[in-house]
Amino acid sequence: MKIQKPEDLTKVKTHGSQLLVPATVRITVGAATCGCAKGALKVIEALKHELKKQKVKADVVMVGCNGMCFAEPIVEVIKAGKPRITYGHVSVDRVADVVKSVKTGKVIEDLALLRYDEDKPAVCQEPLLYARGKVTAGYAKIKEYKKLDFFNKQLKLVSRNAGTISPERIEEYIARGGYAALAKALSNMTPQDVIDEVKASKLRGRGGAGFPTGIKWEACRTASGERKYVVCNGSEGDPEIAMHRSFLESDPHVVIEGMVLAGFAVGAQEGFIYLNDRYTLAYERVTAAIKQAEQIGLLGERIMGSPFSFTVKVKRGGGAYICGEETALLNALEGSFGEPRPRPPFPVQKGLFGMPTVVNNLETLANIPLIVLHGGKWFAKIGTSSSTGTKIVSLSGSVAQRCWVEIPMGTSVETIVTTFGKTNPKKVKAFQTGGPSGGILPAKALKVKLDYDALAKQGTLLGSGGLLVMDESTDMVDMARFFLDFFAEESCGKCVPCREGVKRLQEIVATFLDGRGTKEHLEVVKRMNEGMRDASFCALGKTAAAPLLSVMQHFPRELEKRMAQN
Amino acid sequence: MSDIKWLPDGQKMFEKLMAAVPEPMREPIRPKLLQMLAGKAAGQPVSGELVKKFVDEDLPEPQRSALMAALGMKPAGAAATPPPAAAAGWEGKAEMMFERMLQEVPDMMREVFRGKLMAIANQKAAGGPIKEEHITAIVKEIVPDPFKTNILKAYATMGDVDISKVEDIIAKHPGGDENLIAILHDVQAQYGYLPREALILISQKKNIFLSKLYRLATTYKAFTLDKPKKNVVTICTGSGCHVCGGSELLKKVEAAVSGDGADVTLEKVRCLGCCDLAPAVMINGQLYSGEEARAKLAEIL
Ligand SMILES: Cc1cc2nc3c(=O)[nH]c(=O)nc-3n(C[C@H](O)[C@H](O)[C@H](O)COP(=O)(O)O)c2cc1C
Ligand code: FES
Repeated sequence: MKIQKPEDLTKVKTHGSQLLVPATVRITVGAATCGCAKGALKVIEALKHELKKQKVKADVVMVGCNGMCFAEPIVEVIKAGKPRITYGHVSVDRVADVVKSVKTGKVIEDLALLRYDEDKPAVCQEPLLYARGKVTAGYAKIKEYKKLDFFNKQLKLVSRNAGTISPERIEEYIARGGYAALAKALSNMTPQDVIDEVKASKLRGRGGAGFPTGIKWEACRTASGERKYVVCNGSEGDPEIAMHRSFLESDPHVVIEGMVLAGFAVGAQEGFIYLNDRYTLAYERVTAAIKQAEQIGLLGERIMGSPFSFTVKVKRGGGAYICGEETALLNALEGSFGEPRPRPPFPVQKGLFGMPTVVNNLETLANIPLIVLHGGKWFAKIGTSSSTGTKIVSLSGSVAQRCWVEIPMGTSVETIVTTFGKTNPKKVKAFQTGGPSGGILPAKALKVKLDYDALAKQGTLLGSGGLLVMDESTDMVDMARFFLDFFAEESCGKCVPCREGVKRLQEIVATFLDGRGTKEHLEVVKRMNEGMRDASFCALGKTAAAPLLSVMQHFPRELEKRMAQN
Repeated sequence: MSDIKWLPDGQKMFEKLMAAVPEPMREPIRPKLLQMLAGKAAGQPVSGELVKKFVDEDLPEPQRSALMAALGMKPAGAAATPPPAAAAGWEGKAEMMFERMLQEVPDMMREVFRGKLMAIANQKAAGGPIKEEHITAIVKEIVPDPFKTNILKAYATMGDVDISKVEDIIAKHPGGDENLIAILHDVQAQYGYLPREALILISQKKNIFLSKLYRLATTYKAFTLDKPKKNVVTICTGSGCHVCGGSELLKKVEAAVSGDGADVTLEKVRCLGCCDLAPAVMINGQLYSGEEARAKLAEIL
């Protein structure tokens, strides 16, 4: 069917709800990249086979990732009237047990991680009600998700659907309140109203710089140009993070809806998603999602019968860190080389093909539907006063549980490491936020809160949400070398301070690694940093010295140990 | 050159003629042409008409016809005969080789060359099908350097790749430069790398300098110009994996494949996008970690 007016959404919604809380059985398998890497596809095959063999009817659905990458392959069973059960580490040889449990109604205790009697995300007016009546003894033994720290210390707003809905069924997204924000904007709001809500939300860009999104949009709206564009930055070039990938594999429509709203607000009719070249599965899923949205009339001409039209295209990148920088990204989208452009003119004035363009991080855009639906004021109450909302954080490195989580801004790094990483803070030697350009902080800074300003005060940044943990086995001078190698590979070479500066810093670190460093070397680093910071063309060169400087500041002993003995 | 007296239109016509000569040949051949032209003029001032006459009467084929076409002259007696086709068909890779030879000819003159070269090829085939050796002979006898060397080099590896799919890929992505990266991705997905033949075809069809395509193909890390070996091992040295031993693993595997015999292409990347597997390894498109990765590596090394 085609949605010709906002009310038509209701019909699709009913259908979607029936899929999510079925009258029979729904079995989901986490099949984002993390799940697939651990054999999810084989599990699906085995499930289908086993269901036939044991003569059980069920809707087998591929879903995305709920953040528990460490427990993949994850299989969930939803039987009408019973709690939804999440099983972890389900290997192919346990599939028969799962199917049997569906038949008998007995829970497999050693595989069960948690249960949902109902799934009620913080902002969902219509929770998914699974269990009817009293929860029976077998089920009651399994912990409810609300009682698990892994869930109750998170605030799942942007990621509310990930791992629950099928990324391939738009009905399921709509059943969870999807496209309601778009319906609201198109029927009751002017573009300026949307911008005002975003401004009131105090949402700041999640791509690194933390620029207020509402102000960026307003600048684009008022800029003059024949056409305007919305660009979603899905470059995700920082190593150690993969939320965008996970996101598009789990819930692509939330990004699409955010883009349509951005287009409506700034007066654009075309949007592009610039996607990391390695994300093939995400590319397939988001491409399929766009097609579905077009078929049902949520993208394309005269959306929901309004005068507003918008299209979205996905463009795969070529694989270059610098293409995450917005002007280099625009060059790449135009089929040119990934080198930054001078600013001004800013992209909002002269961006893609010389037209006013809003470039936003993928997570920034995924926040928009909720802001439009629930209001900017509601959003501004979440998090801290200067950093509102939630942040998706990717936890990697030396932790027992590597995962991604969505936490309210202002959550401390320590909470993340202990609650989600299941790691004793005493085992932590250092951590880094913000990707390669972030500072490396010592364990004593673990109490720092994730918030743009609190991290800046510590000399690092929130960046796009990477949190890398290092333990005693990590050599800090080697880490400094590692990041400089990274920048040396990724510098586009356009400007001298960055291209040459990084090389000289590499040489200096090498002298320390050889045990020939001197105090003078460190003075040179400080002076060079000033030059690179002031004279580099883009932020890559401006911040390239950050990891080394933070090692000098927080781990001076490790450098001293490697100075020439005279 | 001083012994030529030019009339204004003569000089102009000569420059027009030179402009039609392929660029790498232009300067080397100028003195020779001037010398021949001086002979033709025999002390008289050179007019535009004389330059045309010179081209028509004194130049060898197929250059004669090509330059006549470029100067807008009707070749005498070339009354709209369609370019001859291979009279008795092709044998082996001969047709592919013929097309490859034509790729070196500037667009403007390609069709004239096609007709002439085809006629020569038919002549050589003497009623039979055109064979590979006929084409090679033509290249050796007629084509000047540097084109000759280029073409012969290309023949050496020709047929290893069948670029017939490239046309479909190009057709799938109409539009301008903004689709180049998508085209390169699709070509790479098809062949596992970017074959030179494919890049040449894209450059011709999209009217883009080959050098630009090479720059795209070499600055972006998603692309490779080398044919991958049987097994492709990608080791993550992103920060998440570096901290968990990714770089050490890379060194180990590097040492293992450096000897001869290992049919392995080793790549390193900065984050495979599944840091929970750290250190993450991709083998022939499939992700592995831990024990499983070690076992799989042992199997192929
Ligand atoms: C070297 C460099 C790399 C960057 N990489 C990314 C990236 O991978 N993803 C991203 O969203 N922003 C990245 N940025 C930030 C973008 O330039 C830009 O600020 C951002 O996309 C704007 O979106 P936002 O306002 O929603 O944050 C990078 C910036 C620099 C200087
Ligand atoms: S850092 Fe290795 S997969 Fe991300």
